[in-house]
Amino acid sequence: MNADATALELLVLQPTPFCNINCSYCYLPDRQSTKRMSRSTLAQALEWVFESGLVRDPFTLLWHAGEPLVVPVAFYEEATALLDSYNLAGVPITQSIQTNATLLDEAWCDFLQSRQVHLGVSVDGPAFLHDRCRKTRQGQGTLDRVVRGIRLLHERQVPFDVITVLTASSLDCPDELFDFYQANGISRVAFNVEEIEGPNRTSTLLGAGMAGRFHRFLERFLDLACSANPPLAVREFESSTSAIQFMRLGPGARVQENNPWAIVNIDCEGNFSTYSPELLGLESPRHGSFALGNVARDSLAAVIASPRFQTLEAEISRGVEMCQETCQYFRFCGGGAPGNKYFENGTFASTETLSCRLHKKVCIDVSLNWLEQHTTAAAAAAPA
Amino acid sequence: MDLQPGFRLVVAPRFHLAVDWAERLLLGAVQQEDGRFFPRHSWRTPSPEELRLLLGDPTLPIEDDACDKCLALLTLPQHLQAAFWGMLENEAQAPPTPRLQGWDGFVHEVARFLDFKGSPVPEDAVFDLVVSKPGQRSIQWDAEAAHAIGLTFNLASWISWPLQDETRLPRLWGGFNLGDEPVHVLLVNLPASHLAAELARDVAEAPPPTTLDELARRFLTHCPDYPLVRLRLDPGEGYRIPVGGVLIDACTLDTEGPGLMLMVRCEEAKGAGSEET
Repeated sequence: MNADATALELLVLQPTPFCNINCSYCYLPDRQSTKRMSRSTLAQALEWVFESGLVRDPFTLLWHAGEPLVVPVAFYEEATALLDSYNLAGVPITQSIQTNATLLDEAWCDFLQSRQVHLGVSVDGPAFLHDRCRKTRQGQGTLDRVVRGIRLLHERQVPFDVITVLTASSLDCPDELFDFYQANGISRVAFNVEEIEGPNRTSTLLGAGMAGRFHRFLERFLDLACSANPPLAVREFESSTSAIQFMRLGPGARVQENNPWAIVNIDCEGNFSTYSPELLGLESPRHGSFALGNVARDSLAAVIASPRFQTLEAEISRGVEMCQETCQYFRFCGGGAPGNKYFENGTFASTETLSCRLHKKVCIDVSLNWLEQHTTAAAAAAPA
Repeated sequence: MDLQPGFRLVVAPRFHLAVDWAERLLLGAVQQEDGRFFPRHSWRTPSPEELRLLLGDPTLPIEDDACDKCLALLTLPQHLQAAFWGMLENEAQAPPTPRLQGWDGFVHEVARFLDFKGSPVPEDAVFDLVVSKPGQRSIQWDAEAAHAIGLTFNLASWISWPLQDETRLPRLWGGFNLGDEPVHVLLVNLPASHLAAELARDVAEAPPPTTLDELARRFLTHCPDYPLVRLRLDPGEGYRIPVGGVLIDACTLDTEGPGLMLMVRCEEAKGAGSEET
């Protein structure tokens, strides 16, 4: 048991690194590899997690880091049975799949419904945005197949959320994105920004004036989303308003992505890491592989005691402290994502990233403005 | 007279329309009827050279500065088109009112959208809903005379020539097809200064025109065969008129139902120097 370690909040399992499409901004280095997680590795991974002492509270098991739907449904049926067999304490676990939706069929809908698996669909909006980045290996757009998958989900009444990656082109198109979501019955959306991670060494969002453009985009999108009937839920707005209203992170505070073992990432061969999921499978000259061990041979206690983890944790911890010392948004953010810091700044002991500037600061600013305007308006409209 | 290089037809920056220009464009000529100018009934497809003159290289991105000298296609988002039809449906179910309920809010949202897209309407812009019968060669209507007006400059006909500060003069800024069928924009692809230069070259002995109306009449009378451009505007699409004074109209020649156009015009700015004649 590792009572000192944070309780597990998110377990990311990679059933395969393979992806059937080839997005231009993808951070996965091995997405052409067709390796799959074996049954024995899966069992070892789950055994390792439940014996680690990290499972103390409800957590989410996310199948990700490749296209999960290229592995047959039977794998997940077996995984679910194994999960039940190891979860002796009956800790509530939410299974979640992040998919490109191109491979959805009736069998997948049956599984998602019967096991109440949360589904996230990656789609970047209308064809002129989506097909620009999310292509097949032959360079063809994939939107038609994604929309076919979304229609099937609606027909089968399988609930889902959407994640859209925003590029510089998207920032000119809040109305077009809104129209796309409305036309496709999408009621919950999350925006990720095109990040510099792993093999994706640049971002269209690095240009000058991008924070201003992102601000205008988000402001307009929020207006549209809130005026829809029913309103379109936007993760960035919900998380920012929640942070503004309830979150006041003080000294020593850490958030999921920079808090050791709040996230555990396990690849298809049983190698595991913590912190930002994008780190797994990559290495650095200073730290070596970001995979800290393997579920077949390394206990959590041994890894925590290892110099490699200690060095990594010290550097990440220093980065969080630096954020706290220098950034007025720290109390809403908690110190940023180590993965972004490393890939952009070359060290975890650093502060601002593209993701901070856009995804944190601008989202907070826009949400704060919105709250101020609408709270004032609501107060003015209230009967005396 | 052959098509001359004038202003380009482009998709406005930050707008996304899948435009097959060759399939959208036709060329024709004008005919005079009682001192007004309408398209003749025959149309032809433009040649590759004419397309090149009208479009330039359509694969090159257009910058905002250059866009002022182009006829720029725009499109309204689906949610605004739906809002318009919702407004009409509500109106149909309610007792008749002199003013369309929700119109001000609707055009305010259209203006906000265009502003976001970097194609802001002028501050003093006025939005009109123009309803035209199907089969009309002109959507401009003279209510007093009860007849179609035909091709005119987008600037008021009484404005003196040469132009002074165009941005302060009453003018048509552009329009949007709010109907559910395509309509067609009709235009001469040359700015007023080119028309005047053409006349000066061909009819050097005549005194120069003193108003835009005179310039339009002289050019269209002298060059009735100059290719009149007919551009299809699908539902939800619009156009922004370039600076320089453009002979322009729209028609509902191929529609089965009435044409519905949202026309954006600017009143004369306070203190503008032009005189009404």
